Amino acid sequence: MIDRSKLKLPQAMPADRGKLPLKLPKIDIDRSKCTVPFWCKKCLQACPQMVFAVYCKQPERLKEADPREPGVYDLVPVRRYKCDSCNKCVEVCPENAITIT
Amino acid sequence: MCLYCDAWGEGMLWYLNPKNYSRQLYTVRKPEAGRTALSGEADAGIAISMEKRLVDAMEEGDAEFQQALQMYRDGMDLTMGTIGGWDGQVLPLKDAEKVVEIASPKALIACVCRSRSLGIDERSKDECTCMGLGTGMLKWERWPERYKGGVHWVSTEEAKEWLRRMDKRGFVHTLMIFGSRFIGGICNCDYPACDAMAMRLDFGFFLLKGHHAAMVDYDQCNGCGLCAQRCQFGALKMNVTQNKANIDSTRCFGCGLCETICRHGAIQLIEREKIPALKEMW
Repeated sequence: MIDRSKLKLPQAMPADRGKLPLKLPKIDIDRSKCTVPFWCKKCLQACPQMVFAVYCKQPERLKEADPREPGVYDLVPVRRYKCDSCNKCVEVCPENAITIT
Repeated sequence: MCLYCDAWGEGMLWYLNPKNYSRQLYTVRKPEAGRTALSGEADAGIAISMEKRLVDAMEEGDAEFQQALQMYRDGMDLTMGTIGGWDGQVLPLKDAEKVVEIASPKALIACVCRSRSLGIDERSKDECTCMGLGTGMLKWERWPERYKGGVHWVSTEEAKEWLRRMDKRGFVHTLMIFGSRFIGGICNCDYPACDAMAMRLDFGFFLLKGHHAAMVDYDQCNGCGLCAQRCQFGALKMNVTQNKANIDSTRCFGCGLCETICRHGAIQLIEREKIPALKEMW
């Protein structure tokens, strides 16, 4: 079997990303304005670094989950470390729900 | 021989060992896991919250980040039954074809990563970029509402044709394990849409390198540059002075995309075992 003590943590970050702690941009999403992210998906496809992700809040009813129904899917700026604050998502959002600070 | 070969290979490549496709393995979970891992899009919410914690820790400092990384890896070990947070391996096309010969049944399924990061909903057989292997697919077929929309069954020949089509498009083939050594699928990944590759290239875990590394024969290479467009790992560049392809073998993952596009046979996949410097580099 496997000797777990031999497993060492790999090098976590490529050298060019700099020393931790990093100063990352803060991305706020106004949930009252952004209600149908999976149906709209403009920010998802506009972002060159694929910072955003959508997920279904009720996975056990996934197939019936209608992307057009408000509040079924949620938008999260999950890969914030890759955001270079180009503001493309802010421009493209039809509801003006995204702010980057 | 990689970490998985040592543990599960029994003297051969682990993914060519038929025991790792056994249906009995599908239900084997670690007792301390408590609950079984949710599959597919169902755990997108969990994965997102874990990744969010990891990114938040980057703002706090090095020690916090290492701690979050360790927590992520331990969490993966518990829910997915993996070793040390490694959950898949890059495969060249010829090995992927061997895998679909061994595994049965096979079905095309929608990619959860692209649905999550790009909002792409793959629902037809032509769009699907992932393939589920083995008995788990019967469950996916029976509960389509739980496991994102059902499956499309394929024969071995169809599966091979599909793999070649994906290879032509330029996707990296990766083998995924789901729950303690059970080989559950072949995904076709690209950076940064796919989580497996994003995790490996940004954080340094989740995906093991393949058993091969690409090497260029300078006598054969005519400098057309087709291969340079296909490398997802930033390993292959054109050597401007000599106008030949140049591969950084420490970055090479052995996916073989450059080999399959080369018309002159200038790029060859060499077994990692035979290259002393790359032998222990996974």
